[in-house]
Amino acid sequence: MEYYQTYIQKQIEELLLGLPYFAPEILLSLVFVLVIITDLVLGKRFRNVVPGITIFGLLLSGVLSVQQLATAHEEMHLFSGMLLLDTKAVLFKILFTIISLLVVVFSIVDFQIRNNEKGWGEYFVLLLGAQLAMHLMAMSSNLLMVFLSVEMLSICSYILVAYVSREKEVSEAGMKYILFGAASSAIMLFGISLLYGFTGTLNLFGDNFLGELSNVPVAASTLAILLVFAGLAFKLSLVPFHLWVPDAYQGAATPVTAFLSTAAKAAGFALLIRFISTFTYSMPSYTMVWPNFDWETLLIVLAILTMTVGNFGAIWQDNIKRMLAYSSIGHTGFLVMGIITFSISGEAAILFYLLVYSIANIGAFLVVGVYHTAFSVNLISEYKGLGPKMPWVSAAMVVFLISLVGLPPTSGFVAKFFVFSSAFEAYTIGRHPLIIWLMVAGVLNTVVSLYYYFKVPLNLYLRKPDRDMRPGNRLIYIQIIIVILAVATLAIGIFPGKVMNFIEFQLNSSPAKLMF
Amino acid sequence: MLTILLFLPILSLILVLILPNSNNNLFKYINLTTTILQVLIVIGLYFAFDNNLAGFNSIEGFQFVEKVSWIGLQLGSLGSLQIDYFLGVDGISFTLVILTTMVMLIAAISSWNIQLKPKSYFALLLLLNSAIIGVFCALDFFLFYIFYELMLLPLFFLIGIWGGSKREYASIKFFLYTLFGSVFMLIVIIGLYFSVKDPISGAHTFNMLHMMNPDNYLPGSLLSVGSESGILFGAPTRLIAFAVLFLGFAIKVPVVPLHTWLPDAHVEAPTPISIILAGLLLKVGAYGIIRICYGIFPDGAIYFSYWIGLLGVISIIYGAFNALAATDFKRLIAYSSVSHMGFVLLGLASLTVEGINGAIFQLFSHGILASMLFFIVGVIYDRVGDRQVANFRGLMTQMPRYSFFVIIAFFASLGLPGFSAFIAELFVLIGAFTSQTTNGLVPHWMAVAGAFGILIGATYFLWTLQRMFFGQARFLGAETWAKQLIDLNTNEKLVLYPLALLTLLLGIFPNLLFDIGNTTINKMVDSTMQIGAQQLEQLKEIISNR
Repeated sequence: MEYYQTYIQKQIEELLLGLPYFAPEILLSLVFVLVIITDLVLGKRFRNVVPGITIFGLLLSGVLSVQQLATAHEEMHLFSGMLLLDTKAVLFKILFTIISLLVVVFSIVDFQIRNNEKGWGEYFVLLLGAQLAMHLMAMSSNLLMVFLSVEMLSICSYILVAYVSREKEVSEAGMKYILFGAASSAIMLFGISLLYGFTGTLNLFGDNFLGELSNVPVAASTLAILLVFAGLAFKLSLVPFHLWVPDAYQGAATPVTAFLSTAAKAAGFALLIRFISTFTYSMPSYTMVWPNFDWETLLIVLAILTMTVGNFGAIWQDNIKRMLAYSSIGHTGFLVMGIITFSISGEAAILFYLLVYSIANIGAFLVVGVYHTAFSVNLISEYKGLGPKMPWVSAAMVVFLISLVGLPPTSGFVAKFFVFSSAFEAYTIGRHPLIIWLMVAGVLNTVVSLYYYFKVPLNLYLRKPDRDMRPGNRLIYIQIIIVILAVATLAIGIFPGKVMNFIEFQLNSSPAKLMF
Repeated sequence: MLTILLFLPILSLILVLILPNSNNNLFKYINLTTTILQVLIVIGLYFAFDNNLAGFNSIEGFQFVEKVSWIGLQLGSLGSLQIDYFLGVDGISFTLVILTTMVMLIAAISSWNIQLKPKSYFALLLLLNSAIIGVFCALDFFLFYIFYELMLLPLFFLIGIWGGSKREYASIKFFLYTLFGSVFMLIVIIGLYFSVKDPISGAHTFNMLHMMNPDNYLPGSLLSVGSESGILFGAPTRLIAFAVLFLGFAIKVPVVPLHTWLPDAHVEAPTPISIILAGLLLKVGAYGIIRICYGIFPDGAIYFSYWIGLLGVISIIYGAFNALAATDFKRLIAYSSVSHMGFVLLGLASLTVEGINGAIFQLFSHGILASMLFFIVGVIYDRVGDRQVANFRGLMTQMPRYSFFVIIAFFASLGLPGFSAFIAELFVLIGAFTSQTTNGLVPHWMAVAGAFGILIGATYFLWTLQRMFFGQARFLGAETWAKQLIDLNTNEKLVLYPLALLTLLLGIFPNLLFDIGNTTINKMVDSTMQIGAQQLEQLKEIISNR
């Protein structure tokens, strides 16, 4: 009895100790509840209150996250090892906040969401829920927490995708997404239970996790890891777990697609990095990977497959959202390339890539939204001659697309350069022969991506319109945001030093290099 | 000064973007003023330029150097990354900078009649101008790459929006082809960056001049000479890197069989853009081979010299035969470009002072003559919208002044003594002939084949002259065409006179140009032969020891 008393006391103490470091998430939860209540009370009369509170809440939690940078230099194991707060997690949280803010602003003007018969209160509630889930994903260091946060994000995403469902296709896309998602969650849970059975602990950074795992046969531990990885791969849309992506992205409202292709992907990467770092030991000068599981080969092969399938799939798409969906699969492949170094510079490359990719991708989706609202066009072939009609937006679109291809002088080029560099670094250290082929595949995919991305400017500028098109609603505020994003894309491309040095500095400032 | 040269077009570009769309005529004046100012700056630099300094691989030989730290990053386990805004010119690049400003001026004048969206057109043209200057001046590989890729985008739109009927196809083909070549370059750049350290600061660097010095390579790195680690797939990584870079630049030159984008792009592009493509873009490819392939990997330059020479000869002959068979006047000129650029490769492959001097001279000379030839095609295309060789006859009686310039351009291009191309091709052939006895890199028969190429060149130029210009005036469009085919106007004469004078001037006083590059080229040949042979020896040893 006495034992339990001290145990509970200890638990409560840890809980209280952890709370101050959990401020952004507590705030998000409060805002989450607040939005539900305000939507019930005021939602009908004052439509804009709900998004207003959402933006405010996101901003505030962003500020709190930024403040955490100062304290997170030491790794904080919170709530008995459920969560791990370090600079990497904080950087990811800041990234999520930036993306979510853009998505919320986008959602306010989006035609489908604005005119949804179900109202839009729940929509913002769900976005906040997803935001909270992503925060937890970035910090989770316990297998149970991993599962819970992934499920939380998934469930929010399922509803978000099907939120505007009026047509059959959207419902179908949502259904497909849920079925695939549920199956992969089950697989992941199975893997987690196996890992728990083998090691007797759920804590990824417990002392005995790897030790115990080394005692079981290699085949068994490999199977368990692969099963957990499959669940993550689903979130990241790695081939062969990408099949839900095109339908879900095409069916969902454009802001939701933008959200899924950027924030949700970034969260997946945060978790993947965390999960893989369990299997690495950091030596003073290099990183050793747990020898019983060949992460490098797995990741290289998946990266090559993912970028190739994504980019070649995009070639034949005429629906712009579907094309961007396939291209986002391709980008996942490039991002995986950054992981295989297992080094800080690789992480920095991924964070940088995610940031500039998110800016360009959201920018592109914003332009898609503007075109849709102004001209009600969805297909690339319907974009004929639209360029001069909206000169600023179209020029910005070209900038975003160049950045997504990875051509100078945009930030996409610098990001691609960093990712290639970290792959090269991995080669010079490990001399894994496949890495050269990965780089060759990456280079060839860049050329392929140029082809399909440039179908858009080709139609915008090089072709004459079939019919006389007058822009309807011009969405001036969104146009301003688009131009700002385009300028940011160029500015980060020409002066990447500030951003990259900031990321590097923060990542390097964690004294314990337990991570990779 | 180089910064001003580089950013003047950017400033004008901003000006063009700010100004309202209503005043359409203003933009061409802005563009013209910019290019005239650039020419004036370059004339100033020409007098300040010291011909006796040998650049190529030592910073002391570079002039008008500007160096500012641009991107500095601390990259974890790899130390720091250092990218500089680093400009400077030596004899080789200065020659091409002169050419750039001239061709840009010509392009500005020949863009006078652009009616469609002049604002966007001149904005893109100015961006292109800046990018090309940047490529020739950059001494930091990262910076070079940025300018190199930056050229593609304006060209894509310039061909795609203002081009001919198949412009869409031509522009995307051009973009894909050249991007294909240059993205592989990115891997080599990263490889070089991991292998090279700044001798002073110890940081990894993109400084091209550091990359040219074998002492700066980290022992045991992928691209260093003399260790097991420099082997990839059983071959020395350095030779693979050379081949990859060469492939990228060869697409741009273009070298047969990588040339197929060129006829399409040239034929579809509007006249000023054809002039820039032939006059400058092709030179960028050749410049890349000289500065980067030969400069950084001299071992590859020697190892592959036979194949480079062979590709050159194939380009000369194949291009000439295609020109002979071409029915479209512009396509004929486009293929003649392929043929003429083959001489550049042959000269480079010979690695003799004569050969490389000839190659650089050919770059300049072809820049002028190709501009002239494409302008000439543009003249009749502007008037009747047709340029099939078979549809014209007896233009001489119809347009005597025009025909006068055509004859000059044709005779200059086919290598008549007294014109610039003669000097260039002569030196290339001398270089190729002496190569076998002096350094044994290029066999005699290649020089003979090159001379044969000149013969075919004479055939297609003379035959075209006979078909289109001699005889009775007869056109496909009969009377309507006869009315439309008026002789040259002032604008057009303004373009053609200086070009014709220039080719004549350089043909009579070739030293005007040779003097600029000669010291640098001497140094290039010496150091390439010396360092290259040494490194090649080491590489062979390592391979045989495996």
